[in-house]
Amino acid sequence: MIEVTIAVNGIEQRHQVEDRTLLVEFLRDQCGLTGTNIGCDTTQCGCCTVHVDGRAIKSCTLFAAQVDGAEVVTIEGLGQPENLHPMQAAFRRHHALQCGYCTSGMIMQGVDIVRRGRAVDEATIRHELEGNFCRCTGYQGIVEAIAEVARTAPESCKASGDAA
Amino acid sequence: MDSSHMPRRPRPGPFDRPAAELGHAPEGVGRMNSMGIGAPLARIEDIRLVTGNGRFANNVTVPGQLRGYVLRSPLGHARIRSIDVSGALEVPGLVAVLTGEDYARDGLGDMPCVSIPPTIKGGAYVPTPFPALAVDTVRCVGSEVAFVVAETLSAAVEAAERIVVDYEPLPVAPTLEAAIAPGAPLVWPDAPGNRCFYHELGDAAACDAAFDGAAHVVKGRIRNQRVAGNPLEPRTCIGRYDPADGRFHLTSSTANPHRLRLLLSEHIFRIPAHRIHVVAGDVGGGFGTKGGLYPEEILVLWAAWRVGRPVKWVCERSEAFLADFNGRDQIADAEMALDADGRVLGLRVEVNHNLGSALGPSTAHPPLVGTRMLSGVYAFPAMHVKINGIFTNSRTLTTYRGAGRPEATLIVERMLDLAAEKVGLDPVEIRRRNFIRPEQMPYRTAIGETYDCGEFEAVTDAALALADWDGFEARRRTSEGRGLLRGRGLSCYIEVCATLSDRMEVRFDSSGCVSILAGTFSYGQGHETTYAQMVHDWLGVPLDQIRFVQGDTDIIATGRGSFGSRSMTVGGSALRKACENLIAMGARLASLMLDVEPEALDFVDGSYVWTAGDRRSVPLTEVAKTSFAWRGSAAYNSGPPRQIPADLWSGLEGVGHFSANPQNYPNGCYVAEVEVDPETGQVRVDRIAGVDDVGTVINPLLLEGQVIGGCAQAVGQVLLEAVVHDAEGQVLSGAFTDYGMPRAEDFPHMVLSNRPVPTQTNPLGVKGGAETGTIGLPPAILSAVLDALRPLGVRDLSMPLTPMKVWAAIDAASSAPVSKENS
Repeated sequence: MIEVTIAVNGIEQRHQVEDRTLLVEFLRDQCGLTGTNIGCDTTQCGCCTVHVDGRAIKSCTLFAAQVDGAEVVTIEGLGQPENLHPMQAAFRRHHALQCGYCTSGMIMQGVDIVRRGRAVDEATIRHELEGNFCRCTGYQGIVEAIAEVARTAPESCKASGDAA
Repeated sequence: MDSSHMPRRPRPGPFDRPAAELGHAPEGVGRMNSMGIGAPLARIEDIRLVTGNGRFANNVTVPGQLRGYVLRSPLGHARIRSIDVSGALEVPGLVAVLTGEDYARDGLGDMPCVSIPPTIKGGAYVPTPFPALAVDTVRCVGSEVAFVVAETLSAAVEAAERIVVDYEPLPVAPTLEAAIAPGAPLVWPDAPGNRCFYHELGDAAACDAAFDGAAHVVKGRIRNQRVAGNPLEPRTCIGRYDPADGRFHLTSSTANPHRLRLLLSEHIFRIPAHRIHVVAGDVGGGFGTKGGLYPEEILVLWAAWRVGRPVKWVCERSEAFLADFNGRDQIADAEMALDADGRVLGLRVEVNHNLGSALGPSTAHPPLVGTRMLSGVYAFPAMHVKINGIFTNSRTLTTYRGAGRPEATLIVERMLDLAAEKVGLDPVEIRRRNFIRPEQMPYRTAIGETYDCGEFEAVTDAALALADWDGFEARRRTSEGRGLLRGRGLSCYIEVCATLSDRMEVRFDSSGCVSILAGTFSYGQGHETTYAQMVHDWLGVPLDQIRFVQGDTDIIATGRGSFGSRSMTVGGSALRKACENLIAMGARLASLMLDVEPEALDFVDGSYVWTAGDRRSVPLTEVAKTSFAWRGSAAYNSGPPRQIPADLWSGLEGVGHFSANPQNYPNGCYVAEVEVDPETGQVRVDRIAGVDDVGTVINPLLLEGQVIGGCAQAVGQVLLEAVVHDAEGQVLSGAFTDYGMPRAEDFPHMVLSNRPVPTQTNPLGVKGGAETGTIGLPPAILSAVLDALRPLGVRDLSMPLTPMKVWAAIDAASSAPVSKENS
């Protein structure tokens, strides 16, 4: 067992976990934040994408202990039902989700794509999404939503550490 | 209308939710019904799904829950000599190890097959014992051998690793090709030739006569490969047994809770249905593969009953490649007879469909339902279809988006392409010569399907225009300049949608809000929104006062779930009847309130109005509230107080039923253009355009999402996806690292449109809209690739068109003797 402290959505989370505990398990089981989903066991699908120190990372790829002391933002920390983040609102507007299972990871990835200035055109956005699977939408609404946020609200995707 | 009678909105209070949350209105919304049927309304359910508040089964944790793990067969076919669980019992945290012997001892039933009708031509089919844990033989890799229950998942996995199973390997026939070969190993000893069932459609003699008089005959073998549904949410279930009331409680990622209750009650536990409670929350996709019963759903309930604690099982992705039931998998041998002008005289098809190693609930649907559509949108005067259901040492077959219809469409469209080449006609022209014409409707095909309506040539012309079919040559030259081969293909499709009956309920509460209780079950389709749009239109209730309920067998009286594009037709029509019944009930109470005979009242914009009189009126929501009045007085405005009769004094509600008989026939045309790199064999789909006729459109935004999503699965199947077995039956495509899941980069921006011809077969005029892309698009892409490769002499390819396969075909064609190429 090991003690891990992670600031999740601005709240310090300190838990005793097994050494092998993955970040996604820490978030779901220890923090009770089940918005981050698990879709595979080979780090292919991207359902579990969260932000670690401002960068999109698949939380099934890291041990919780590896990000001890880091700041993590999950889908719950991005926006709430009464106060949607522009990316969440754009996903809804563009019907960029159907079953909603890949959606948390897609939105976190989408924010990161805009933050890195990679939402430059449709082809680039599609390429940037190579680590995230969606089985329902054919990705078209997702690409449109990300492009729209890049156009209309890019500042909303900045991480706390980014230069203004 | 007196505005004081409008539903009164209280001042915003601390518990109010922002209106924008519920029923996001499109720009410039003024009238209430601009959020009703036909509006591109953003989805109501999205609010919870974009914020991480989805109610997926894996998000449910029950106090005291244990974890279950399934030990699966590592062999494709083997006898189980013995199972030694003693090592497992020593693992700390282990609670129970269950095997097939325990299953039999506790008297649980087999997984049922409910998809083979007694009317099949071959007479009795070969049934397959399918206990949730194998008893003495395993017949595919992934078969359930033992169920391990422990305090933690890691303890369960460790214990499973210590179970020693002594297998005696048996000969394996893991694929269709292997199973239908002469002398193939038998999956079941009582199924010679590995044939489970045989069925026939059409008229063999008439078809023979048609071929006798033919100017041209073309033959083809069309392979439709096995694919995995791969909904992104892995299957999950939690079983609980409550000894206090003797009930089994199941939370599952199932796409069909009521069907589960029925099958568990009737076939597995053989107890009254009221002792089984099934709940499904948000379900992360299914595409047909989550709609039946799975062994694990039995195992968690049974184990929970045995150990006295709740048991949760979560499928791992790699496990899902072994454990989930698969889709497609068919070999079709077809012959088409034509006259000198390219008019089809007859079509013969013999289908071998891979059922897998044991029959699940829906296994026979794809071969039996799909083949009904083998006439396509064409007037084929004579047809004869033979269908063989074949056992193999592979996982059970089930319905996967389209379920047999994509297979049928590929056969018809591929044969027409081959015929066009043989007769020397353009692929569009040969289709024009064979379309069923609108004036022939209703049209009964030579295999007995009656299409009620459809304008097939018009929808094709619309698709060709949308795709800029005639501008192809310029694009081809541009591609050529970049060293790429460009090809185009088109495909016309028709499918059959909406089956069985369903039940919908609308129920007011005491505050004048309405709940929709749905017998259908949405797992991504967006019913929470589409049904609300309907009720908003029909009852005039604002969207934020409509609540949607589904998926709990204790709350929803009965239902049949969502599959085969049935919900807008069957659920929507039943919902309409429920609303009509509610309006009729409310009219009686409104009559008391307004002091006007019920027959004299009209229902207009959500209010009962005495239009023939002084236009006095009362809103439905006020009538609904009155029906809950504590003192039972129907006084309204200055009218005299009246005692409310008992049948109107306990709330206002309506129940509606509908059965889709006859069914409906969505149709359309898809066009694809591809670029092929002859150096690498890489295929890139550059353009997809399609026009569908799915009748009345309830929500164009959601419909387009369904169509694009279907097209994506079509591209996946044609270019990337395949469940691959080796000769021993090992699944080589056993993880997302090995199975070709389509990514965002694999698609162009798709251009889609509707050309509705509303059907008279249901009150809404809707046709199914959820499977059009998966059914209609694949032949167009295959045709486009073959068109691109024609100059190189490649004449045929089977899916998936991976770079390796395409490159090998180019290589083989280029090294073939010239004379053969010209034959």
